[in-house]
Amino acid sequence: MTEVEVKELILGIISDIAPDEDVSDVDPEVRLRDQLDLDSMDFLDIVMELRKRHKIEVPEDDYMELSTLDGCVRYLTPKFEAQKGAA
Amino acid sequence: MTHYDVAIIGAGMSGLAAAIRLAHFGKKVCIFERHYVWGGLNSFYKQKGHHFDVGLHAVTNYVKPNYKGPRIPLQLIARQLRIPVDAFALRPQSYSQTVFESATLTWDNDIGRLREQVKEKFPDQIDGFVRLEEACASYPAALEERPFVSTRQKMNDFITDPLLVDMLMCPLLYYGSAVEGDVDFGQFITLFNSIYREGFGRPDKGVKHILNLLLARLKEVEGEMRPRCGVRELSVKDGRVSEIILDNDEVVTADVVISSAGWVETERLRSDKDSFALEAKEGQLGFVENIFVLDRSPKDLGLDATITFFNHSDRFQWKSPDPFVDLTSGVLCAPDNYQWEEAPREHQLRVTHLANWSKWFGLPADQYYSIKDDFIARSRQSVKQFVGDFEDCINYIDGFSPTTVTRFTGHINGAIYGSPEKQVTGKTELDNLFLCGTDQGMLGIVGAMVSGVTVANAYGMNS
Amino acid sequence: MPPSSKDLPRVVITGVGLTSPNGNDIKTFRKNLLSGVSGVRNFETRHLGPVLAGICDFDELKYQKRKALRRGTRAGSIAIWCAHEAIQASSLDWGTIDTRRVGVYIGVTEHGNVETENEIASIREYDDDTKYWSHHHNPRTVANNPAGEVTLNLKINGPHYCMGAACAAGNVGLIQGVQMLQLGIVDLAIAGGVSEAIHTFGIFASFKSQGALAIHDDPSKASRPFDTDRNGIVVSEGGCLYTLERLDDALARGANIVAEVAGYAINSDASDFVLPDSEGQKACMRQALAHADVQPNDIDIVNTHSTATPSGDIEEAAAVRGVFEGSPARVNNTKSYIGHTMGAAGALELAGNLPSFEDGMVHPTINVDNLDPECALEGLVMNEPVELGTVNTILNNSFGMLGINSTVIVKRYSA
Repeated sequence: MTEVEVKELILGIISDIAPDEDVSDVDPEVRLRDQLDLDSMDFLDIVMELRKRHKIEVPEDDYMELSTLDGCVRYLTPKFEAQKGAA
Repeated sequence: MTHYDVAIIGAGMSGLAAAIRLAHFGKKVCIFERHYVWGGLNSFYKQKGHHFDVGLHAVTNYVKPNYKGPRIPLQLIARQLRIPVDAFALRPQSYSQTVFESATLTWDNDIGRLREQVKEKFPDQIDGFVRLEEACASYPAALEERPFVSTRQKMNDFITDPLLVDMLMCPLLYYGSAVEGDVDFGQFITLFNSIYREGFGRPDKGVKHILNLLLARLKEVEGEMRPRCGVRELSVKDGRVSEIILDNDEVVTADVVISSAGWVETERLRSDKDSFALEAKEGQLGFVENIFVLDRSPKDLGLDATITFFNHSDRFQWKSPDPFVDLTSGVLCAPDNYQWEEAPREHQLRVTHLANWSKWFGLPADQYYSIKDDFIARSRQSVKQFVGDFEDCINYIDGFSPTTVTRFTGHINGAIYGSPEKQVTGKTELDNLFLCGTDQGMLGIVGAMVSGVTVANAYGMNS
Repeated sequence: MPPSSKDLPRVVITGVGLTSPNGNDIKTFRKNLLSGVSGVRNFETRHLGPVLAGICDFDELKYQKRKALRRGTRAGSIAIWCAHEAIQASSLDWGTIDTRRVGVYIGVTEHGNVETENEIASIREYDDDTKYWSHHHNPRTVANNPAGEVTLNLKINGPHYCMGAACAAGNVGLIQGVQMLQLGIVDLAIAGGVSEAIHTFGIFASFKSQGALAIHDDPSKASRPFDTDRNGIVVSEGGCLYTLERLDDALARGANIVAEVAGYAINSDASDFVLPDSEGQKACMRQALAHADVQPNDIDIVNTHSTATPSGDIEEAAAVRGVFEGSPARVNNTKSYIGHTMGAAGALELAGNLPSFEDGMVHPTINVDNLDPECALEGLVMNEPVELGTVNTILNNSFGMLGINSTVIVKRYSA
């Protein structure tokens, strides 16, 4: 999965969780929480959606990796690669 | 034997919310509901062509259209259940009032109005009231154990006029506290925000609208619900629920059980407990309510307030009364007086009073109906100052007593607000049995949904 | 002349259960009797307002569920407490007992007033509309209610009933139990008396109208039998039930024997509705002594009935003098501590003296600051306990309205 695809995937999940948020203009380096109305429960949902839709596990200690869009891409791309490799 | 990831007892607001949450994330979930219809304490029914909501006076935690601020409970629910706030279609109240013998406070979904009222009628208390608003700025942490803090005592820090204390507490106790005479301050903060800061709303079609939303969502996420299928017993083995025995003797299993039946009610389902378990923790506050179907709008009777909390004296008694019904105070609800977009099907008035549950239970049938009828007339008398003598405007009456509530929801003593001792963490002695709903500590439609969602997230996801 | 008790099976006390305004078990009760601790306190009644009363504070939920407590009466609750406590004290193996052979015999002064007053007050809220009259009223007010509630609670299938004997009822309950055992009707009798009197305002009001209701600034000093300044009765609640068995049965199961019921008598003055008569009282005591086959000189303790009414105390003092002239018997009174426990009095006051068999003491009657010369009694133990060394025989009086008298004599058990 390319980095662009991972980015789209994450923004897709966020749109489902927070339908009234405009995700088209998100700055990838700024914390998501500072740009969008997301709280800790929403972040937990992102993690759970990742598990549900893509069987990706994110341990609690790694949550902070997902705080920016770039962070999400950095953290998740290898995980998706690993899945593809295992498949 | 069917196995579920999570079994949920009760298809009320909290059970439905918990089920939606868990099913959305792929859990195999089933709600077991004893009654043939869902909704629990907030269900609906039809009688002789009239449509009634079982409990709905007001949906609290109203989100104002242009609200910009920290996430509030209904927004949280919208996120968690993936149902937009707008879908709830809540129409705001016109205004509510608290009417005591020597003072009246009016208030609506803008807390500024209440503040103005306090400033006008209790000028020496306004500073304290503003400080109270600040003290209530944030909700207490969910699921976090906290010691009981007496609101009556805490209020002394803010309001020194006993009349104002009682007038501010009256609506909050009615909506509601399970503790006689008092409420935990954390609970008070929740009620203060839900009622005074956020406010009241109601879907045009009543509670059925919300239940339909929840059911549609439950179906979408492939959650299962089995009405007419109550849980008779929870088999306990090695500190866990090992089997769930249904009313029809069928046995199912689940990794986790979440019960909205109530704390004491759930404990009594345990195979290792008897029917007197936790007798001292039973809820004691029962209610009677009469719903009058009118031939005209309440406005024509002189009532334009949405909800009226009335007390015929200046001291407010919040306890199980000695007589059958405490007619000295009550709640008068006029669903017509919401800012509806689609006119209500019928004009209705709801009048609620505290009742002594122990006097109602066990009455022989004739005596029960005779006394119930008597209180319809007495209840009408108690609201005369607001709507006059409206006997000739009545098309139909239905009402409930504490025994009705127990019969249809299983909640002990008809105590709508449950046990005075809340299990805030949602945990029980058993490793895989958890509580949501009234006895976990959150009340009202929105509160119940928050409870269901919170407990499901915390304990149901890892099964 | 009734058959001498010698011709009938001997009956013994194997357990005592009680609740009194100054103690809910025999140890505490006795301790307070030996140290002058009163149980009388301030109390609020319907219509009369503040009064003085002896109030019990046993744990109502120890042997009853809330639901049963709500359904039943105070007298029933007291009886259930006493029954459980007595059975426990008796070390009976309750699980193996044939419940058809257990009888419950409880004396009451009256029963039903409390619930009737409550219901009348209750429907008053509704303009006396009787549709609000509780459907529980009948089972609550039938005279056998206290005994019946014991059978329901303990699942006893033998006979049960209450005996109405005014303030002699406690003794009468005990006597009935003895007789039923001697007749072989039952193998175990749970017998004695109970009172819920403080919860009816009528009793207070009537005593007040009679001029017989005690008042005092200090509740603990209000009940003053034999004292010059006595001014009436303190109404109290309480209960005492004994487990009674035939001696042979008690010995066979290795029971601890608290005392033996040596003899008794019940008679009627036939003179006045309300006023007692020393002649009738004397006759009763003499009859009991004969029945027990003992002489006045054999009696160590006479526990008087005296309720602190101006005239009543005088009558009994005269009667006791008449019977016990020249004998070394000590005389005391329990009502000075706990007030008048009505139907429980005879049984409860006897229980307060039973520990004398073990500790050799005689508890006094308290609140005698100035002994009324007309009540002077040789051997009257006032204010401070007396050490006798050995106590073998106790005589217990209880007298009631309509001229009923009762006397029970118990002795230390010896083979």
